Amino acid sequence: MTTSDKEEITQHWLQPVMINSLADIFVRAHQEASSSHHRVEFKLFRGAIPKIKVDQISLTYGPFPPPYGYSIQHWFSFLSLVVPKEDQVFRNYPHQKEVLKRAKDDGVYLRINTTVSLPIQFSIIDNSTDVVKLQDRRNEFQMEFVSPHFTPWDEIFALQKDGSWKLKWRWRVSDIDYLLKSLRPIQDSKIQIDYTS
Amino acid sequence: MSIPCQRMYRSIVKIEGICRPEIYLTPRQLVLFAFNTRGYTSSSSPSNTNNPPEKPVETTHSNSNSNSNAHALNNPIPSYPWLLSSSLPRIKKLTLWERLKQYHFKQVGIERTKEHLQDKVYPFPEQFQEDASKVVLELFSRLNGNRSAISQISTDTSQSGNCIVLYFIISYVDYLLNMKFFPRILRIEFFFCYSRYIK
Repeated sequence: MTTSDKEEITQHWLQPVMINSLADIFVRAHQEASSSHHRVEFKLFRGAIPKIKVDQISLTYGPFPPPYGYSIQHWFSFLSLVVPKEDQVFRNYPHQKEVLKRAKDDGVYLRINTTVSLPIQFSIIDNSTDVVKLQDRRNEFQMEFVSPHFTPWDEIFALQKDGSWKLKWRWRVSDIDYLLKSLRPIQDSKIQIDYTS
Repeated sequence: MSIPCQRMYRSIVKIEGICRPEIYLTPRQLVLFAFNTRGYTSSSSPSNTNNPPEKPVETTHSNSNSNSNAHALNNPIPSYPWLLSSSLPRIKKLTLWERLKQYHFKQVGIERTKEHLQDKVYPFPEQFQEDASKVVLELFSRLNGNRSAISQISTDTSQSGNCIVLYFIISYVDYLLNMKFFPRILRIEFFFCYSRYIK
């Protein structure tokens, strides 16, 4: 490969396929590697097509980013509502249904946890001597994809020339092997509603 | 001299029955295997082991290849967020009950997602799987810094892995059919996939 084909790994370069917080981690790792005269290579096996298996889906309803005076209500591990603080406390079922409907109108974004089956070889190579310092192969890894926030009134599809419809936006990777999730505080999977008041 | 690091090693395996495998390595392969099982630093300059410790001499790239290799090996490996196959998973393993709950919520989530993405226009999860696989391929090409295409290598290793399993099955069936009345010696090729994590 010629040097003109190589692109420096920056956040701008990774942004179309990754969220910023994850891209930051990878960019920092690449900078660290290049400062110590190493390069990182991912090699895919010829003809390998990733097989995606959906493991978990979580939906977040409400405005994004959460405005001041709003808090997040977690319903099990698959539903989160960004609601005003006065609606944070569960009163009764009809009221909660109304809160959910209002949150739905404010928009939604999806997070989809998947298992990706793809044989991939990861190498750390010394730039000066081309000595492979570390090589590892994995056939399966976890990835989380996220959609942008959209409301029921947003156009999310665009008509193609062949008459088919295509998403206007792209799915982006929001986590790899629970890298970001492991950094976050553990979230209780039960309903987090204050029943005392 | 380039230091062979984590390559595929081929050896000859002689099997006399399933329970008593005998492994034969050629002398060259033995040397290579022993060389790789030892630390890399010991192979850099074996002549210096009897000498008293001296001041560290900086090795430059203009020196011999062995010196540059030694320099490269002394250079610590940078940390990288990619999870290695030998590393522990980052989150705890789910219990059976959690898996059941996750499965249930997945089904509920799929139905809700179908509603949001208008299932007739965007069949979920089939279309998502197709789109996501494109994103995965592009992600690794971007992490490699490739503008043009994804670098690919041949699939010899994965194919040989399947061959080994097939050979073992055939040889085992063959052994069962023949029992001990017609003892046969099978010679098959065996591949060692040698890899390890270097700190």
